Amino acid sequence: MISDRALAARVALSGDHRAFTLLVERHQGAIRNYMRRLMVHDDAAADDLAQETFLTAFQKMASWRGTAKLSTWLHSIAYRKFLDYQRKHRRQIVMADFPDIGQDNRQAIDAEIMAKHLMGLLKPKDRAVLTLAYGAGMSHMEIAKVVDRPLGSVKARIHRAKLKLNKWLQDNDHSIQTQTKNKFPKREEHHA
Amino acid sequence: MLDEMLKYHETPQEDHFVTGVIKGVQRQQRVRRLILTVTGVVGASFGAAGMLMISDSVNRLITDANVLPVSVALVGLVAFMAWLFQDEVAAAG
Repeated sequence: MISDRALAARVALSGDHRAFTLLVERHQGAIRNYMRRLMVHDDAAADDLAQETFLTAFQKMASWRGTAKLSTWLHSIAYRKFLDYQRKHRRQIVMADFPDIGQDNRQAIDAEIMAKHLMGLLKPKDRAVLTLAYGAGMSHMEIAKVVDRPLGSVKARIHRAKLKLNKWLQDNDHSIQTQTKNKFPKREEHHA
Repeated sequence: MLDEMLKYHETPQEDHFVTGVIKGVQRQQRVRRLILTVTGVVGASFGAAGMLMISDSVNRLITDANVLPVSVALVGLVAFMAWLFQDEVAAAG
């Protein structure tokens, strides 16, 4: 398999569309998932922003120095796109209320929908770091590079966000936790 | 437990997304080429008009001065412009 670095070099040097297509195919899942979590209830807008992320990446490919992984660089572009979107649409963004998770609906709760609802509880920047940690599986150091914040600030933000979500889970419905626990066996990997 | 809930549960992987991105890239390049062409034509027009306006002075300069330095300067300018726009040629390919 051709490495990201080799493909990126071909894109930067000659605007190679085939190389860029391979890169988009390789990274679309991560970037679209990230955007979908950040945008919470608007998958279409999330995909539009993901597309803009790749367009910017194509334009600026020559500026990727290779000191960080390409995926880290792409996530940092995506994060900036999200912040820009938020600034422009601050007044229009209305977070949907949490659905009433009644007894009858509990069985139907999809894990992804649940994750998005949890994201909706958080401030956008908390959402971003927590998704990078638990969705994208990045280390705290990588997250600090993506959001361009000091490592300590990132760790504190993740800690605060986790506390908030755990509290919400405890306050609202303990059975959701139990159900999800059974559905998804615990991963072994740890986040630095 | 929370990390299990927050991990990605699906992986969007669709060809139409990739096609959309590549179409966007092509559109961007078309617009960029159009802007370069329009500004190039406008610049060349102004340049030609300017040359006509100062053609007498230029004529005097070329006849009075040695032709060699002027030719070298002209070739240097062409080489510089070619170097400057080299990436555009590559990106269009």
